[in-house]
Amino acid sequence: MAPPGVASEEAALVARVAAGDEAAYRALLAAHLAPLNRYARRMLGDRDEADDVTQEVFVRLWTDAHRYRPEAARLTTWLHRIAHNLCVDLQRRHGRISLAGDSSTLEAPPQEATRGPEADLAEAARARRVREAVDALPERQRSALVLCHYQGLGNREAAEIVGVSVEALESLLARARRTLRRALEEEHGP
Amino acid sequence: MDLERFQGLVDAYGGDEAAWPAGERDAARALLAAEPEARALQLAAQAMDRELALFQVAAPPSVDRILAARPQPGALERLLAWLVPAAPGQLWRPAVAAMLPLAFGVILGAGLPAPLDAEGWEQQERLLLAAPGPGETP
Repeated sequence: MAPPGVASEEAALVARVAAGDEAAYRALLAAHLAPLNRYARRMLGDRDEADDVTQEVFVRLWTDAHRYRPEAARLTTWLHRIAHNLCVDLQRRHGRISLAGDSSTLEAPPQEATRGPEADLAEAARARRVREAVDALPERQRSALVLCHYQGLGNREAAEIVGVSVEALESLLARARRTLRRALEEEHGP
Repeated sequence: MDLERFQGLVDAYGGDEAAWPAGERDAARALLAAEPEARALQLAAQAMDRELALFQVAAPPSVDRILAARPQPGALERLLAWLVPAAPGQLWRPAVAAMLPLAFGVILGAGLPAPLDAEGWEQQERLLLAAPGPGETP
């Protein structure tokens, strides 16, 4: 969770955005654009769709800043909730979007200097298997995993965004990790 | 905290202590120090965390794209912003925006001359009938 000082600074920036202040908007963009885009890409898999969702989140920050209530939620939670709803709407409207084959979403994993090309290929193959296993998770398990593990949100915030209790969120997370472990063990072999 | 709850914790949140709920972190650390089995559970969860870390994503869209996508305010919104500067929590602003055309209509209507009564209409008709037609001279 962000320290109270950061939260109140952000609330002040949102108030300025509500009054049409572009500098405040740019400051919030700089802080939140990359994490929200990572969330949308892991949820949707498709780079263009994820970029569209990210754009819509920030359009709403610009047009609906006056609706933000800092006493109710951190700004990042509010923005993630908008992104989550847009991602879920998209997936339900278009059917499940598969990450498989969309390499544009991916970034090469961090590489060690001493590794050779074979090790790089093996790691890229492992990264693809992880991506496909996450993509294959049911929607709510994937949302819970991405919000908590990748986005680093607290369990209460993630539970509120997914629309479940904290206990139900823990169950979704445990089932997601168990499914992933089984899928990756099958890939690696016994 | 017992071992069963610790297992529930790492099953859900993984092996990184920073990812555990703040309220249970100290109890989990105490169990880790006392129970070798807890340490084995944490190591297994950390192996899964390393696998998950392989799923990285590319750079976000440019800031310019986001800036260009913002809708420009219409005349009504600019008027509203001038009358009532926006601030967070002003959920009543849309109602004010909806009332602006009504208020504008009332102000405009108040400035118009009063409508004619029945006598006034008759007088208008007489004037029109008495007026010369096209090509006629008075």
